[in-house]
Amino acid sequence: MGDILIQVNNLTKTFETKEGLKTALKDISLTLGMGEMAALVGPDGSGKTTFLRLLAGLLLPDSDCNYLKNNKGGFIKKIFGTKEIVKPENFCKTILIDNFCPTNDLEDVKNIIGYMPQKFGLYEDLSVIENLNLYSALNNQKNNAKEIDTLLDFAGLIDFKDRLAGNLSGGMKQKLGLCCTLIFKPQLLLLDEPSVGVDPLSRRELMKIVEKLVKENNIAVIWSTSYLDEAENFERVFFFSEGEKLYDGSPKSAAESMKGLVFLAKKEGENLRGLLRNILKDLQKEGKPLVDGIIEGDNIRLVFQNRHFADEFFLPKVEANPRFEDFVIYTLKSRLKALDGNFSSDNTLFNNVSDVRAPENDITIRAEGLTKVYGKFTAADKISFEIKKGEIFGLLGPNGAGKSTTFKMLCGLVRPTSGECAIMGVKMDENPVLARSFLGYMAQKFSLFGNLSVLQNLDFFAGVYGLFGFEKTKRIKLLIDFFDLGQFRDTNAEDLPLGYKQRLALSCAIVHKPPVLFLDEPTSGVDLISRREFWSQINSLSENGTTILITTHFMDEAQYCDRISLIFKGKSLITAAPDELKNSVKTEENPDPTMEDAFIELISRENNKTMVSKDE
Amino acid sequence: MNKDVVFALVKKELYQIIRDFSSILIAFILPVILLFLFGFGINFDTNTVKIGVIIEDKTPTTLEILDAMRFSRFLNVYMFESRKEAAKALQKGAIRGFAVIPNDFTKNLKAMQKKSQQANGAMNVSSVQHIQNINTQAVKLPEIQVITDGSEPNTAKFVAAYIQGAVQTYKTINNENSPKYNSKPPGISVIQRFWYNPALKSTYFVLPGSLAIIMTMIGTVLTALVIAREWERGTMEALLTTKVTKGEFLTAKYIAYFILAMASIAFCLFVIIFVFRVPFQGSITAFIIVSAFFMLGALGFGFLVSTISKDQFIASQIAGVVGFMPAMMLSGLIYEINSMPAFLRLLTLFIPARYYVSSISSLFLSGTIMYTIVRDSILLGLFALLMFVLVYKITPQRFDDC
Repeated sequence: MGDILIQVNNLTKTFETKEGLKTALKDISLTLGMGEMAALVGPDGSGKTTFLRLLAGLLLPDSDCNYLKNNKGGFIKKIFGTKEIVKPENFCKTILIDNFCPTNDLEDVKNIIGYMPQKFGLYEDLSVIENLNLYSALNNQKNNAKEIDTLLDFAGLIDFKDRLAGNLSGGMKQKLGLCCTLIFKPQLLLLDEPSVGVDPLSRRELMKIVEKLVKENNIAVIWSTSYLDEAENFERVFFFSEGEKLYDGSPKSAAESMKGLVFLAKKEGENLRGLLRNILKDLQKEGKPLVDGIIEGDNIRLVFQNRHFADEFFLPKVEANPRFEDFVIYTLKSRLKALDGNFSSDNTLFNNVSDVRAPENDITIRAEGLTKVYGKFTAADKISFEIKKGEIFGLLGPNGAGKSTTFKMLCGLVRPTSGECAIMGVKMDENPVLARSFLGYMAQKFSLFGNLSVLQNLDFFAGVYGLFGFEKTKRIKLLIDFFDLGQFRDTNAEDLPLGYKQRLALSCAIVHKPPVLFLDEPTSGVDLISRREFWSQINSLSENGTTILITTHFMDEAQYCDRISLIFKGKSLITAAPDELKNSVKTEENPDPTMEDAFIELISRENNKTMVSKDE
Repeated sequence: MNKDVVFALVKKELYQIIRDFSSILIAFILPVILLFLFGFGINFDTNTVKIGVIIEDKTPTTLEILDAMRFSRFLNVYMFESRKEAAKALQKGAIRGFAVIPNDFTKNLKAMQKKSQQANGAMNVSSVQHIQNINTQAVKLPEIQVITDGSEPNTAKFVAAYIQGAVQTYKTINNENSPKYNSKPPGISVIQRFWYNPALKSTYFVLPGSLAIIMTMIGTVLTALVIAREWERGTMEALLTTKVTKGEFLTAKYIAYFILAMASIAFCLFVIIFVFRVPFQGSITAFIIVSAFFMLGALGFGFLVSTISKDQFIASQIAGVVGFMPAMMLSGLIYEINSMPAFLRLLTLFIPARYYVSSISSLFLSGTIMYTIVRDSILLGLFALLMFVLVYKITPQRFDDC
């Protein structure tokens, strides 16, 4: 492990917001050695970015700053105020990087740290080489052209030297961002969510580059991410939740600790979703609630609270390899139990939305050769599929692959260049109003009215969809009960916790009992437990005959779908059930491929195909 | 301050400027559009006005007066049969005013001429008392009624003045041509001459002045976007973790946008001189010096707005409103500063555009007046300095400052 590079002692960071003080980080202590590579994992709002900014000296820890007391007075004081800082007792002891303190020795710390912010910090209207030259100069480096070429070669960008950064793909931007931070050979790399919006193949490539750096130059790395499966590839993981560090150590040993508690179960001839719901319900009644229960392809994956409960379980089951995710959900739920004595605090897990307009046709969504061309760019290329009643169908792919375009064509928001689609047998181009009336749509980022309360939002959407009077009141009451929104009835939507915002958005989308539900990245940024709850709600909707089309970039979530379509560069690479898909890439070296393995394999096959056809 | 860093940053800014069409649009297209608006839109001269004439008394004399009106290059005369018709035309806006030559005009005129001849004759022999007697002998004056559209006071004044002018012309001609009417001895005649703008073309004043207002806006809007953009695109975060200092960062921004803004001013100057043909009397050097000081202030103001708001949309709104409106209203271009109420007059002292307007219009119209140029340059320079200090102070070194 070597010498200690970062030392953090009891770090707390408080922000002043309109609603008062908000603690972003609570009493964090950790150390990181030279040349060590660690993942910083947590959902949005868990304090990852704040932590990295504190290390980089962009923010100051509470212990180094009487900012909160001094900051009253604002703008005028900023200009004319005296810069009299009363140094607190433990000044500059909270964060030490190579024995420098970011508060006092910012210049020295800048010499050590290479920091890549979210969105990579690139100038989109400068070319690759111009960006690099700029960052080289900004770090007072006199890199010669050869050095820069070596770096570009290393990152595989040498052929794109003169391309504008704005015209690079997500993966290439990410690599360029990395090059820009590497230009002065830092000892510590801080990467803030480098994998957001990047396809898994590029993600894996970046990981390899960084691993090589760590090995060759003894660079330490902190890589923040909200994907738990990504964190599993690291030797060391810090898991943050709501500003607290809940785990620090190797993800493998964390998963190991769950051994004997994770099982796969299945019962022939029974609907998996109904089975799962019944299992959850029964065990809860018996007072032996499950830690986790999800659908994984053709099986149900169960995580038990202890071995004893597992032994008593009534269905035939096989033990499965535990994952870091199992450990995380176990930790989170244990904390919840410690807080309010209830292991599964939420009864929405096995509630059922009764009362859905079940469709009569068998095929509810049909897309035929959907193509959208913007100028020279084909956003979606001949995408076809048919989705049956009650099916959960996933569109999986990185940002910019064409998921949203496909989605918008299906909703009638974008007119396809060619091809057609129909909802419940009604063609979108022939009768868009009728076709759309069958749809419930939950947009990315939830699109709620932030300054309306939960009740007002529901009331508005119900009104928009033509509900009124007693029917409306009844429906809203039902939704509030089902989604457990009662406590937040009069809270403004913007002040809701993210998980509840998501619930509200979903309830607004189904207020008119649509037979078809479109969900556009409904779970990005949401914490694990809320995601689980969300999926159980989705499952129950599907059980009642609602057809669900969902986009996601969480690989694991793809497994909860009945069928998925892999979208890459505007094309649908394959449409299949999750297990079929995984099996199709099974090899001797990798007998149990993950969803990500499957995705990467299929993308590289596609890339090879296009290369071959170009050569011809 | 590290020269290489500043150079690299300036280069980056210039690349961004060249590749981002919107800054070119703001710097070169927008000012020209505004110049055209100001050049043609704000015009205090009235060229030809349409008026109606009603002659109730058709005699050679009145027809001569009508000819005099028709002869005037400012009037476009339409004949009407009755006041009613003319009033209708005025309401419709077809004419801007009308003149009525009443029934008894010729009669009264003749009577008056007679009277004044008598008076003249009497003057030689008699006393003042006598004249008074004559005047009281109730001679009705030959009157022409002029009715104008008071809802547009400026035009109304012009109409009245032009008609009066035409009648004056008639009188002069008749006095010269026919000695029989030559009743009065030549009186005092005023010969008007308008220095600095002999043709009294308001565009000659408005265009140079509007340059100041346009440049206030352009300078502010150009820079209001750039720092906010760095915040929005997340590049500020990356910059803050490099070794760039505040000083280097701001210097580079200033240099790059100063170059762009000066190019924009030069372009506008070219348009004003060669397209609008406004003569330029002063020295170009003085123009450059004043403009440079002015521009530094305007750019600084934009940076200030941008740094405070950190949001491109809000910044551009603030820059547009705060940069443009006061300059427009209080620079003395549209409203005479001397006729403002005292407190507004005081306020104009803090509007940099005011000093720039004064310098520029004197440079264009009257030549280089050292006193004005030096005074305005100093004041504009002080404003620029103040802006720089403010921007420097509030540019953060971190996300939060203690």
